[in-house]
Amino acid sequence: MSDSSAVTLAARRWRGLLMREIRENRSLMLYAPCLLVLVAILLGLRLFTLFPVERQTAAMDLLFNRFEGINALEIAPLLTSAGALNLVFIVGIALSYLASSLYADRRELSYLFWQSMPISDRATVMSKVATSVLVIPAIYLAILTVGSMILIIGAAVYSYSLGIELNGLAELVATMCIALGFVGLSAVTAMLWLLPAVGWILLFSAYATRVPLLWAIGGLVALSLLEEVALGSNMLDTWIASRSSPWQYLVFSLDDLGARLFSYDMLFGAVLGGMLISGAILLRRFAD
Amino acid sequence: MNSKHGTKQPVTFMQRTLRSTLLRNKHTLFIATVVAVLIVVAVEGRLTGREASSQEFENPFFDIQVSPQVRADIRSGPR
Repeated sequence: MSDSSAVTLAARRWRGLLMREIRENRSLMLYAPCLLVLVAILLGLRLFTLFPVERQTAAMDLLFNRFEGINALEIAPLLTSAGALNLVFIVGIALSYLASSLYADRRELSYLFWQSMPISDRATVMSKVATSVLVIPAIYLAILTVGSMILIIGAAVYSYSLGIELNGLAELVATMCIALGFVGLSAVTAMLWLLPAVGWILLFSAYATRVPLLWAIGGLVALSLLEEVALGSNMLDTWIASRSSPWQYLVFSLDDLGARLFSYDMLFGAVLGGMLISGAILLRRFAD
Repeated sequence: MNSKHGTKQPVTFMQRTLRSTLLRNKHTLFIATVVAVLIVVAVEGRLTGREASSQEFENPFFDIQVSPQVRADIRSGPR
């Protein structure tokens, strides 16, 4: 087989694996982000309508005219900070998906079908990792972009009806696009940063016979407690706490992105994640 | 002769040992994985003198400074 056909075959296989994950988890990957964004927009609108029209006009005037002539790159971090709340939802969706992924395969015995196919356990598990690190943030960001566009168009139409000039509209849209890009990069960086958590949950998803997410959380708490009681040390807590600051994975500029992705902490986390994911791959050999 | 996946490829001593210990069943494999990860975390933490940083809530990237004029604009209504 030539190199190009082998690459084509591998790409087709990977596309099939990723599409399978999306199809089997449509509720979590497509409907949940849509509902979250919709609820956020409705909540924002409801809060906005609580203010009198004078305040609403002032806020719209500020929104559409203060942005006029500004450098979008300078103001984007402010919107990125506001949009960082979405990372909580992205990570929550990804971890929830991971907890049920290998467990559901075992529960409904579909792993027997997949093991009969010419697809290795490694490719199957890695497709789940790729889904959580890349596909879920990408889908969420696409939905968030559509929601933001609808919101900004609605705000522009409403402002126009109030007689407000839309002088800074282009700059506002540019700022929003850059901020959304930073939110997307932050989401992927956060998921890479959380590779040990990804591996830990996958390991429990491949092992536990009931509620793997609770077992994963409970197991971690139990180990931490055991270390404190038995050894009198708190290495595990310290390690987790040293990687818990959101500033470690929030991206506000492209300048330091390379340094972040190849930092010691990121690479060490990837090694630990790799060990745990390898354990999850090997665990698929054993039928319940 | 022992073979791998029913082929004539010989099984090494290492593979035989792993199969009879860590890969014996799912429980041994699971425990071995968790213990290996904990050992790596403990050794790395000891070697690098790792410290918790979760208390650092200060944003190191930029300062948010809303000017008094902007705040006044919001409070006072349309210009």
